[in-house]
Amino acid sequence: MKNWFIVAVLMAIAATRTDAAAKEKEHDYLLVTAPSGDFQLTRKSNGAIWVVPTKQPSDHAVLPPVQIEVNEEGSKDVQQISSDKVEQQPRCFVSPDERWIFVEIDTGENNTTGILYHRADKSSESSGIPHYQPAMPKGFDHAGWAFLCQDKNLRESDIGISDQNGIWRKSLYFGAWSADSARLLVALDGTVGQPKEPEGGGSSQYESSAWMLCYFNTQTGAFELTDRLRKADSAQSDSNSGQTEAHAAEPEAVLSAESAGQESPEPSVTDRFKKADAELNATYKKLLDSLSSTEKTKLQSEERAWLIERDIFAAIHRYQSWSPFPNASRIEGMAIATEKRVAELQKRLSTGTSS
Amino acid sequence: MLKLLNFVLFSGTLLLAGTSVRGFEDTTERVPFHGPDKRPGYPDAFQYRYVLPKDAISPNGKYGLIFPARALAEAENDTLNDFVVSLEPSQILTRLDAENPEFEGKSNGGYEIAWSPDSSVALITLEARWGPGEFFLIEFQDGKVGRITNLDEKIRQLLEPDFRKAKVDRFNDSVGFTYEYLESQAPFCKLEKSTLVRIDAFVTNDPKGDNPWRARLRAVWDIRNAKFVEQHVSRPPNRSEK
Repeated sequence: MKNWFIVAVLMAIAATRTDAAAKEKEHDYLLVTAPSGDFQLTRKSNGAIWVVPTKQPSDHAVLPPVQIEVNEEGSKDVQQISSDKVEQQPRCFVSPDERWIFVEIDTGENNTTGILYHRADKSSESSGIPHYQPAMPKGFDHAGWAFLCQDKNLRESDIGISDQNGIWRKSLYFGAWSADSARLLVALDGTVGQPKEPEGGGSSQYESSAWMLCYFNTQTGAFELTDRLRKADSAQSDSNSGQTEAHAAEPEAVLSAESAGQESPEPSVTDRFKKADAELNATYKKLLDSLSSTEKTKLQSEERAWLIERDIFAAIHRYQSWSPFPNASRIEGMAIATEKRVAELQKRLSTGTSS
Repeated sequence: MLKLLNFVLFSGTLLLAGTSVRGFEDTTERVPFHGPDKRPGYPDAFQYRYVLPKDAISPNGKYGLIFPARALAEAENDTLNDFVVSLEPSQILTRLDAENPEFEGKSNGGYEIAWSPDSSVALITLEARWGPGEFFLIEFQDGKVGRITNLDEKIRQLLEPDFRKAKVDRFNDSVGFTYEYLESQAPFCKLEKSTLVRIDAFVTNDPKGDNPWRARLRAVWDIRNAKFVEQHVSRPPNRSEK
């Protein structure tokens, strides 16, 4: 009888533990899957980021948290907190070679900062679990702002000062990884100087704004600019005059990071889309002319449906690219969809099929 | 104690009865939605930036409606989109061509989705300030959207002649009149199985005025044939006339 009681108690404990483990897993948030699919980054309910190997999900390594500056709503003071204490889910971007992870974290008032992690030597990794360490001991964010301040002859202490309502602007955010993982594109954006409250009310005025696109070169361990980025940065200064149209590609848009040794100007997405669209119109007209009236009507209706599909594809492309330039990214998506459509219609034209 | 319990239960019943429209503030249960075309090594933007409320999923669990999450809505300067999605596999089926899309934290927002029992038809109502804002009828076929009908446009076409005849001021530049809850907050469009939508809608050119133009439309939309099979426009009494 006593034995049965012990067995029952042990079974109850086991059931509770299994239930607790299942509940904990339920609260896990999948942040990202590595390009190879070998591991995932998962946020635990306590805020920690775990690196979990796909083949051994019971094991894990922890992405070490670092101290970051945040500013809670309505507070004038910047606080230092551990990055795993931020409530909002961070965005993690794993480099194509999986040696680097960029983590973008919210710091309040729509501002963000970034931490770059570097993978430890594989020889030091136990049981095949990837281990990552912060790449810059003094802070990736700090190094980025120091680079901007040096380039623009500013003081870092003048960037992102809160106004009397606790509103501030100082963000470092993700742009793109280059295909060879040699460069990480980031954008820096902040106010410069002390805020001045306008007499008639409204938003605080600052001396100026600082904005920059730059690369972190993973091979040299330093921030850098290329001609592509210098051109984009100067275009941003021009667009501050309010010339940008709401749905046109941002003039300073850079959608991809240049691989090492493959530096080149940023291709214009607007030109790419216009070219593809002109090709589509010509191909569509040729195909239409070759069809019977019934087939024509069918193709016309198909084309109308495709236009909706194109716009949906462009919206998906835009979101999944995480670009700081949403309009340019959307137009790039429209160009990709149109190029595919041209190829499809050209194939039909060459094979003499209507659908 | 019992009286208190009765009061609490009664108040709760009243609250439930009056809450025909769901807003994000009330929605606690959400289902993760994983979007398509994710870039290798990048996070899934749809998981982060969109919300799939559990009550926006079809009875067969295959379809749903996703809305921009608060963070996206706050960051976005231009267009926000509501999407109709399939869940297995995760796909964006179509975009809801809404003038004022719903999003998490929208003031005066809300949504109501009525599904046919076989999940082949969804009637979506997006709320606005004075009443319902827009109505969409989605017909599914073989895992895809077969047809999407902007019912709001169709309803407006029926009411437009009476509005023009009244020669009154427009509600605003783009919209001549707006829907308003008048007698109750019951849905203006009701789905009957997967065949009909029964409409009983109130509109006005001035929801704040005492004596504005007001009209009531009672109509029946035949889903399969995509047309009205019954329609009747009348003028309900104004508040001052009651």
